[in-house]
Formats: sequence, structure tokens, C-alpha cells
Amino acid sequence: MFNIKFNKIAFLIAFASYFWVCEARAKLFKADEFYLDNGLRVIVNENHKAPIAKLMLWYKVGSMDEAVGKGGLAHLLEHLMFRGTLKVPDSGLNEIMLENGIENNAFTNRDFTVYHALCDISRLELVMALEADRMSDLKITDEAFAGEQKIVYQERQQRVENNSQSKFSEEVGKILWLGTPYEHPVSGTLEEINALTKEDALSFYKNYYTPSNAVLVISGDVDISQIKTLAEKYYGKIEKRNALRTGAFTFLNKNGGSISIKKEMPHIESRKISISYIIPSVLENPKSAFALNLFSSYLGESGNSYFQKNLVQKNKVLMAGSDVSISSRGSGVFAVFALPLEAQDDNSSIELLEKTISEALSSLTQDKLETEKKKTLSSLVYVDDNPEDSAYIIGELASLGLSLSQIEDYADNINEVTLDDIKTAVIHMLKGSKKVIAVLAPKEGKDIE
Amino acid sequence: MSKKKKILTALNLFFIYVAVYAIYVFSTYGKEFSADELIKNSILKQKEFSGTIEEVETKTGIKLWLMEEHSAPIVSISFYFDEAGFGFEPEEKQGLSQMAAELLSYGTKAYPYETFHDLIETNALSMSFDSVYETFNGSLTFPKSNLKIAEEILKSALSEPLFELEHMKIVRNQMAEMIKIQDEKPEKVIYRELKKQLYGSHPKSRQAIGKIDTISNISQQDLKDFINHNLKKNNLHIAIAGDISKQEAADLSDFIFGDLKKSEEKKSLPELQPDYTFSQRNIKREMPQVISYFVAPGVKRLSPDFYALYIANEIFGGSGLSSRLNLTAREKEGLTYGAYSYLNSQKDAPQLIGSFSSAQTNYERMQDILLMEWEKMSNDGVSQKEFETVQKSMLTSFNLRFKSISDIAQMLSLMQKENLGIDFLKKRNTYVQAVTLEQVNAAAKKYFKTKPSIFTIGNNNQGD
Repeated sequence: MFNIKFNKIAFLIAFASYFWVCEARAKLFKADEFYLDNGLRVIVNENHKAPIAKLMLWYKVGSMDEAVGKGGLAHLLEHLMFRGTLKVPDSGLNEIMLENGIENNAFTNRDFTVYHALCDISRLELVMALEADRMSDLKITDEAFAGEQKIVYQERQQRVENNSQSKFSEEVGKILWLGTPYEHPVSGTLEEINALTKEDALSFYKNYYTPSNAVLVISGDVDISQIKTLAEKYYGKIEKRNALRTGAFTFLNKNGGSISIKKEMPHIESRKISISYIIPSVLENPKSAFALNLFSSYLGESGNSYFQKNLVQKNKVLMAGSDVSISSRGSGVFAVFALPLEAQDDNSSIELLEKTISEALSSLTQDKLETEKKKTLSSLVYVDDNPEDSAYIIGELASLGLSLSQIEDYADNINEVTLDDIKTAVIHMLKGSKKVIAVLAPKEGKDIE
Repeated sequence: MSKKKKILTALNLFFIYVAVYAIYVFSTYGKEFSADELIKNSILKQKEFSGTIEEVETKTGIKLWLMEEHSAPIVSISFYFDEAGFGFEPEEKQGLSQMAAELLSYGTKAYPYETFHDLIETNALSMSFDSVYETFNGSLTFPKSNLKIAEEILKSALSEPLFELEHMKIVRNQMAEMIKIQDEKPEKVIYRELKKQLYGSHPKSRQAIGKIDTISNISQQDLKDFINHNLKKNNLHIAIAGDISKQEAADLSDFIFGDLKKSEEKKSLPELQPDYTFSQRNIKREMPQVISYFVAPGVKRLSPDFYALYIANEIFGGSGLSSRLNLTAREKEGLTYGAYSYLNSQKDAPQLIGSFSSAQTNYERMQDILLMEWEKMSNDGVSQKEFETVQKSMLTSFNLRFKSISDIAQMLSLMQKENLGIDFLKKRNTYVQAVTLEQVNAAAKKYFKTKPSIFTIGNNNQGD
């Protein structure tokens, strides 16, 4: 409820490294799963370090499912989920969570709406009961609706409007995704937020908050039989309903070509350059998605990346990096970004970035690919550490529709990536994908007020 | 119908109504949500976390704190050097310790940049250094199977860094950029300026990253001297957690830190007199909201009032949506996305500090609520129920601090820094249980008495 995930960059950098699996490790997690009769999918990942558990309930609905003009609805509903049910009215939920030392929150992005809690093991049953209760018995009062509408309005101002760079990122996203359900900001615009009604929220809730449209992930000091008993007890009685399914949407090759945007904005102190490409997601074209994931790791995600060695260390730019996002219901994104040196003009910076991507591709040899795989393989051990990380990774992949064995054996996909796969995917991206070149610059001269 | 009959009918209706209502109440009884009942009958029972902390003394005389935890093959070490943080830097070389911290990851005599990073990345080592006000900190997390290379790399980084001129240039330019970029984010600007307002020219008002003109004064020799004079055996504190035995932990510490020299030098910071006398200040900036900080003197971590004031603050503006500030300003009136306050229990300037942001048009109302709730804390204190809720919360959330190996190592390190004692984890819940409502109210009366100083950024007309 306190954070909309506008982008998942920070997470994905860590995320990418989780999936390169070595032969030594057959399975990524120690997970097990079952389905209830009403369609709820439940996944349990044992982690017995401390007597605690992380629960995440992923609803497969996000801002991409909103009707035109109803921007911000998924996110506003997420807020309303904290404002009372028939059995636990008003702010009862927050009080119970506080009293029981439970760290709970929620977030909404374009693909998913997720409720999560970290708690002492003795409070997990309580969290399950509360989470089940608000899956079916949400009660939205007029006051709560009006209050949360004002709060999400303030949230958008705080997160986006106060900050030139956030506003610019939103514009870039809009251009990149024009004509697809990803073009609208997750928070909705200020006008859209103000136009939403309680009825909008209730029908969205009825349409999408159903057991078969959700994945429950529990990671912690539990075993599967305990969770079977509890899931049956609290979620089993919720009636089976089909969620409304938005029609399939073709993201790829919608609008090819290149678009440039350049803006001078107040409070911007230095130039920032980025190039974003639409790429296939793990659902659209796994082979290509995994290849690009590996390429980004080679290109710009570490202290020894190609960008770092050839651009930053050679004083051609101040900072440079790359990032890839492939775990989405729509298409994915590949992005490179740089802070140029002061003397550079924008066109030569952009040329340099594009040229360096091509050079990196030619420089990639079989040996280097193996090293790149090894780097990510060895960090795999960390998925056993923090139950919050494993719950997130499993939850996201399962919500995309991957089977448990696909998640556990994710390694195979990665290990199978060949040099040719990478070349094909990168060349296709550079030549055939829609891209947005964005320059954000300081405002010249004084503001006129 | 006669009057009498009418009354009887009405009475009958009334009785029927009462009866129906009673049946309704009875039938819903038991379906009422009772968290306490549910917890009492839960199949998942409370357990104690089994990890304990031991002090281990190594062959070369280093004392470290260790928590063995063998559930996953991961080890984490967290360490710091006292009197080596940015507060101790010469005024004209601000940023020195942070620049050293950055450059420790730029390779060593034995492992130049590329080899250094290849080893770190292929062995999944997570290593970092940073400078805070009083201490220079480092951490290293690694898979158990890579222990040998992990200790080798960290030792090399600390004892034979290169500090090449080329690398210095890159890092200096990046730091200069970071200093400039701070001005893009109002939340960074306000915090930086608030420190200047509170601490004046005292080193506490500085930033780790330094200033554009001071980072250009830093020479290669300065960096070498910084490492040689500050990374000493007798100001070193080590915490280790994870899949490692006592003997292994001792050997690893000796290997990495055993050769460090001792130092006789004793450094101190000038005395600090924070200025809480201003009532309101604003930094003008064109933006839709006003961001506000409020601050008043608080308590030190080891003060007898610490837990009482901690609880009082949780009720006032602590984490979560159920604090008084959030209930009145956020939930009732929708004035802000959220308001919070916390204890900054540093020993030289303990504070009760908090923040919120709200649209310009809401700002005045928001500030009235803040001051009204603040005064209420001092005048009326808190209720028995509020007190019990927070006390219970602190007890049941205790185990959450053990969620990852690196979290545990960091906590052990913090316990040393704050002088909490090696038995702190065993005693912590008894400290919380010992607090009484009277103590909380006494603390509230005392510390919420002075109005907070208010510092804002935005298009706010108050206090310019």
C-alpha cells in the first residue's frame, strides 16, 4: 500500500542472477504446491532458519486490466483492501497487524496486485485468516472510499509530481508503450483518480479478486501439511468464481521504429540518456528473453561489465549501465542508460551507446559466455537465505503461469542459451524492436515566473 | 384500535424486534473475528530462535562476536573501525573516507581491477565499504564453499589497495555528479539543509560524499594515509554470522585483520550543541507538495527513558497506519500519503524526529494536526490499550530480525556500536516487558513538552 512498483530495476538486477543454475543444484527452491477446489494455487517454500514466515498473495490483476479512463483503479482498490471487511471493520486489520508485530504491506504494478506480510510463525495462521477474509468480504464505506481517493492523490504527488525525473520516466514509458495496456501510469493521472467511484472499485474487486486468479506463496518455518490444513480451513470455503479475463493483447511489433524525446526540466542538474527497447517476455519468447537477460548481465550490470570496462574506465562516459525486465504479462524491456561527460553532445553520446552495444555483441565469445553463466550460477545459494526473496521470485513466476517444475528447473533454459541465441536476439532487438531514445537535461537559463 | 391496544401492539412489536435481534446476535456470535482466540488455537506455535552470540578471541588477540547458523551454506561478516568516519576528516578534505571506501573496490596489488571483479563475481562475493559519521564500515557475504577466496580478497582490499590516479579521477567525477544530483530530489535537499540548520559548522552537519571543492583537494597520499592511520586493530569491531564454526571464524578474522597495527592515537570530535531554537524554516522550491521535517531533543540509546519514549513515539507516529498521526491526518482526513516519526538515539544529538509531505493546500491543516497531537502526548499521555498494543507488537516481532544471515551480522555489529552488551538478545524482551504505562506517560510528558522545530521545503509561506 505504500509502494507502487513503477519499475522493478533494482530487483531485477538481483533477480537476473538467481536464475542461472549450475548442474550441482537440481532444483532452485525447496518448494511444493497444491491447488484448492476453488482454484487457489498454493506454493510452500521451506526455510527453517528462524521461526518466521513470509506470506505473499499475488492477484493476477494490475493496471493493464483497467478500462480506458479508469487509470489508478487497481491501485486504489489495493488501498481499500486495508479499510475493513464485514468481520473486521474499519481499520481493524491494521490494528491486529500492529498488535501482533506483523510487517505487512501491498503493492500494485502493471501486471499484479500483491499483499504481503512477514510474521512470527505463531501469527501465520492469523495472517492467513485475515488475508482470506478480505478475499471475499471486503466492505467499502463511502468515507473510506473518499479518504483513500485523497490519499492516493497525495501519493501520486509525492512519488511522481514532486520530482522531475519521475515525471520524465513516466512520459518515456508512455511513448514506449503507446497503444498497449502498459501505456498508462500505474497510479493513474490526477484527473483519473478523482473520477473513480466506489462502484468502479467494487466491480473490479468482484471481477478479479477470486481464488482461481490468485497465487498464495508461503516461505518460512513451515511444512506443506500444515499449510494444506490451514489453506483448506480459511481459503477452502471461498466460492469458486471465474475472474474476468482481459482479451489477449499483442504487444510485439505493434509500432516498430525509433522515437526520440528530449526535455529540459526544472531542478535537473545533469544530462541523462537512455535507450529502451521492447523485447519479448519470458512468456512470449523464452529463448530470446533468456538470451537477452544474459546479454544485459554481460553488457552493463556489474563492476566488470563491458560498459564499465570500455566506457566508464576509459573515461568516455561518467556512468553507464543496462537492465532487462522479462517477467511480465505483456512484453519486456531492455534498457541502457548513461550519464555523459559534460563536453559530450547528445547525438554523439547516443551514437556511442549504440555502437558499444554492437561492439559488446561482437566481443562475446564462448569463453566469456561461460564465465557470465558461472557468475550467476554461484550466487544461487542465496535463494535459501531470506524468505522474502524466495517468496517474491516464486510468486512472480507462478503468477505469470509457470508450473512449479518450470520454476524449479529454470536453470535448464539458461544453461541452454547459446552464443547464436544471443546474437539472434540482440540483432533482432537492435534492428526490429520499437525503441525510445530519451534525453533529460537541465533547463537552460532562469525560470520565468 | 383503542389506545391500550395500540400500546400493546407496539410493545409486542418491540419484543419481537428484541427477540429477533437477540437471535441474530446469538447466531453471529462465535463468527466474530477474534485474533486472540485464533492465535491461542493455532496449529503453529510460538518457538524460540535458537541462535546465540558468543565472543571469540583469536590467536592474534582480536575479539569478535559470532552467531553460528547452519541452515544455509552462507556466511556474512560485518565490521567497523571506530573514529574513522567522515566526522573525523579534515574540513578541507571532506569526502576523503567515502572516496577511500569507493576505491577499495578498484583492485589491489595482487588483484588488479579486472581480476578483482572477476573473482568477486564468479565467486558470488558481496562486498561493500562505506563511511558514516563516526565509523568506517565494511561487510562481506559469501557462500561457505568460497571462504578461502573471500578472505583473500577482503584482506587484499584492506591491506594493499591501488588508489591509482586514473581510478581516483573516475571516482571523483562520479562523487561530484552525486553531489550535484542531490539537488534534483527535494527529499535529499531538505535533509541536507536540516543538518546544517541543526549542527551549524560542526562536522556532524557534513555529508559522507563531501563537497565539490573539498573532494578536489584529496590526493593519492591522503587516501593511503587514511587507510594506514585509521584501519587499526584496536579500533576494529567484528561480527560474523552463518555457516561457520568458532575456529573457522577466528582463523578467518586473523587471516584478514591479524596483521593490522595498533594505534596509540585517540581522536575526538568537537563538542556538539544542536540548535533546536528555530521554530520554523522553509526552503523555497517550486513543487506541488510541501515536505516537512519536525524535530525535538530525544534520548540516548542507553538512557533509562529509552524504551518508554520508544513506545510513546510508536503510538504517536511510529511505523504502520495505526499511529495517532496517521489515524488523524491520513485515515480521517486524507491529507497525506503518510506521516511518521522515530527516535534517532545517537549519543551526541539524540532526537525525536519525523516527516510528512502534503499538498500545499493541505499543509496548514496538516501542521495544525501535528502540533495538536504533539501537545496531546505531553498533556494527556497514552491509554492503557495503546500502550499494551505497542508493547505486544514489540514482543511478537522480535524474531523478524533474524530473516537473513547478513541482517544478523549487521545486527551483531550494531549491538557492539551501541554498547548493548553481548547478552542483549536474551534480555531485550524483559526490557520491553518491564516498561509500565506510568513510565511511558512520564516520558511523553517530558519529551513532547517542547514544541518541535519545523523545517520545510516547497512553496510554503510560513517561516521563510
